[in-house]
Amino acid sequence: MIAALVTLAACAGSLPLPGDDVDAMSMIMSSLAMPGQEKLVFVEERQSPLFDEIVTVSGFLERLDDDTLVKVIEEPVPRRLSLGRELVTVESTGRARETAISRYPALAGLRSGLLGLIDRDAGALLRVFRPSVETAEDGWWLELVPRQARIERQLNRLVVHGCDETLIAVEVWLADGTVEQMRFVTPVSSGIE
Amino acid sequence: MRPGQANAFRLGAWAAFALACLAVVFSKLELSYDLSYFLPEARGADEQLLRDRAGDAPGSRLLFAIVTATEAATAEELAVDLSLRLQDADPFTRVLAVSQEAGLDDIPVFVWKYRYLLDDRALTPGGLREEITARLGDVLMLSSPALVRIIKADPTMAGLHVIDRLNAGGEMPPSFPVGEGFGSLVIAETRAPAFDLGGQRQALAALQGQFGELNEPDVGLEVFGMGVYGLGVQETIRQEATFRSILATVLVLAVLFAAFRKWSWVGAAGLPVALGLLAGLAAIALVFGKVHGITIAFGITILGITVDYPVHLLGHARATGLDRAIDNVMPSIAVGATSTALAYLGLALTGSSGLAQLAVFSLVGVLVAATATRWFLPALPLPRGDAPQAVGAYADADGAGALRSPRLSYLPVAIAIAASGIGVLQVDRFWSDDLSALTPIPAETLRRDHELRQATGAPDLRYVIIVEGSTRDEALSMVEELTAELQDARVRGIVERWMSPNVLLPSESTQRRRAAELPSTELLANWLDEAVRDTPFAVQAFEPFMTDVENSKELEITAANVMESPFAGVFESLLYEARGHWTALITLHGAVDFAGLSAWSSNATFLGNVHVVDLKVASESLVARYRAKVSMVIGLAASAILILLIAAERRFSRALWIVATALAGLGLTIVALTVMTGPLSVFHFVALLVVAGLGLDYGLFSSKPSTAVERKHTHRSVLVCVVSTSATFGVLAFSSIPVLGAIGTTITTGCLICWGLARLGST
Repeated sequence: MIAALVTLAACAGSLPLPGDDVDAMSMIMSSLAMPGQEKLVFVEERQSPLFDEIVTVSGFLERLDDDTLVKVIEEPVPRRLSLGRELVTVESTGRARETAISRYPALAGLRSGLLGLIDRDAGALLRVFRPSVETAEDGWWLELVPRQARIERQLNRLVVHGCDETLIAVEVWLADGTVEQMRFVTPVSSGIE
Repeated sequence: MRPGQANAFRLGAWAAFALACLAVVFSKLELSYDLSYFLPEARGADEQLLRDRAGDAPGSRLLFAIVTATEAATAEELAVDLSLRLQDADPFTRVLAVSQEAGLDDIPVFVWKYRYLLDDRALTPGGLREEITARLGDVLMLSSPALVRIIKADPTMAGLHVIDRLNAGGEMPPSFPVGEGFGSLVIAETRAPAFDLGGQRQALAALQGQFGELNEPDVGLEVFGMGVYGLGVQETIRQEATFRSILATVLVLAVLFAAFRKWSWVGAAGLPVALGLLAGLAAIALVFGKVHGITIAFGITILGITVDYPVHLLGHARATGLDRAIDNVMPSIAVGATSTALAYLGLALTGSSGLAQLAVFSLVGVLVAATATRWFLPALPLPRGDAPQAVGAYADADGAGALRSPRLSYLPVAIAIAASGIGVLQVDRFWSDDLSALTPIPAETLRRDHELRQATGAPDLRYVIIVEGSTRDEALSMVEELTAELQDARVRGIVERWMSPNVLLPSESTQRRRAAELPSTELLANWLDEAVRDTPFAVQAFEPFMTDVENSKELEITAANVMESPFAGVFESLLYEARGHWTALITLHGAVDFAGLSAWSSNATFLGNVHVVDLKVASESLVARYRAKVSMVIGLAASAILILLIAAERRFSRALWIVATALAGLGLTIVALTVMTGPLSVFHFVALLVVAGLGLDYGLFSSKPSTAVERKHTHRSVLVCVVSTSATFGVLAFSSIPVLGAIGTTITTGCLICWGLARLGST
């Protein structure tokens, strides 16, 4: 309750966060409304030199079990990506292809970040990322830089944007400069008091 | 010429001979550790493959380096770091960390340039539409400039498809538990073949050096692979040969000193042996150029028995004087040495270059040692009036104690007949044709190697399909026909995956067909328009694709192109010319049902020069046939020896008795060895030749007509020979190298048995 109030105050009044970035992240996490059981519906706007126009991608994130995060794209082409502790599974039109997640450090980093957010588990995020927090009137920005050089070689950072207890977006900054923004369209307000 | 001058002249001549041998040895002799030297001449495609590719089989250039750490992520990261450091290292053609992401930018230039001629999937409108849809999903899932670049030029992912076929393997986990920590694998293909131990040493040093530079605490590196095993074998042979040679030499010196009690005589007894060794080495330098490490280790120990010659001469000299001793002993030594040389001559003609080396080395060494005993030893300025005394223990073993029962003298003949009968009837029980039993590589290491090869998709070194053609292109065309049949075998679960040279070099007709099937630019544009409809893709984004397809029609892949690529090593091992025809290999990956494969191959519709080979079976048949050939040659040599003995002795009964003693010794030794160590190998067989030589020697000396005093000295000198031989080869019997252990056990056992028989049967 107190943490939530402090965060709210920080959003509203640009008050300096108490302590260092770790404490700030812990406070954000503890105030974040993110019940793990529900789907997180998202929309991404994707530009590419391959496309004539900007492509809007919609889908949802879902925790399948303790270890597995699922990213489902519903439009424009159905795809399902399961990110487990050891395996990545890509399913499309009835075909599934499995491979070791450690071959894709960027996906491994994304999995750790998103699961940490869904679980509101500051400790889990701290094990994988170095956090830094910025606040402004329109919300807070939690920047997560991978600790492992191997992940960082592909995934430069994740930037989580929110306001109060609401998660607004996650930006995925790849090492080659590509930035993908995932906006959450149905942020869930929990009954945090 | 006065006697003093004559001796000086003789010594000078021998010194000049020794110097000439040394000059030849140092200027011409090269050492090799290639075990294929010891493989017999091959017959048939499967045995030929075994010989041709021994030491350079597909996959034998791979080194498996396991980086271990307490955390899986650390092991994976360090494995990637290590592989990146080794990318441009000269000893390697390819290095890959299993945990490394298959980088889209890492497609080799060769594969990228020729991808539409290498891809075995035809480009069709329907296929293109499916691929374009799949690429949309890829881009939306996780975009990257590298992926975009690839899709623009290769929306069908032909390049990655070719890479998949080249890898032919299942997916290895990026890390796996090792002890209490985790390991992650780096696979490195060496430029040098596995038998090039110099190149392998450089590769291993580069691997270990770069690992050391990672400078991480609590991490480890374990390296497997044929090259590493070869280095291990070399080191083991070197250590064992050095240690056991020193120990055996010390023991022989001790025995000789105990017998002669004078270092000058002990030294003199060693000189003919040393001259024999030098002459043997010079002979193989002149005839073969290269000498195998085993020839040196094995040959020197075998030649050690020639110390018997000076022991006989000096042993008699102390009682009768040197001149009479020469008259007394040298005829028997000459017959014994010539008989042994005849046996080695037979071995030299059996078709294995390693064993031929060994035979030439031993043959020349034995003859020179015997000659030096006759013409060099007496010329030495030894204190003749001060003949050494034999040790008391040996003195008791004189002729007076020997059994004299005439009936017992037939014992060796009876044993020889019985042993020959058993040997003929039970031949399979006595002999093992398993070459792998001879390898000095620990069984646990071989098991781990097999596991790693299966896990990484590296070819199993046991099963292979051989296709032979009169030209390279004919062999490649036949492989393509066969591959279609193999698809059927895969459906039936007989094989999982395979790799053939055609993945890198399709036959000329296949290349022409694939180029002709590529659509024209206009047609491809139409297909693309159709494929990208209803997708956000811009058709003009695929300009590079259209250009590359058009250019591919003009391309042609040649063997030279492949040889300039990073795949030269694997290509060379899968397609090669030998004896005027071309051999292509299809290596099998993953699980293989060999019984099913054999049945499939006999029922398959293809015919001609295609062979499904189990290299283990091939090696066994190779050794079995070799053993039969050796038996025949040795039989001929034995007949020649018998004729020689009759001619030399002019008494058929004595000659027969001597040969029977040697044969009985052989028969009992074979039975004793089979009981002690199990079935015998080809190296036991070679050592049995030495036993036969010892049997002949002991028979010759024990049956020599002589006075009681001479007989007493004969028995003493024979006993000194038996003790020194048993000591020398007893040391070898405990060697961890199977070859040396086999020799040691065989000769020690055989020496004691032959001596016992000769002693028991002498009259």
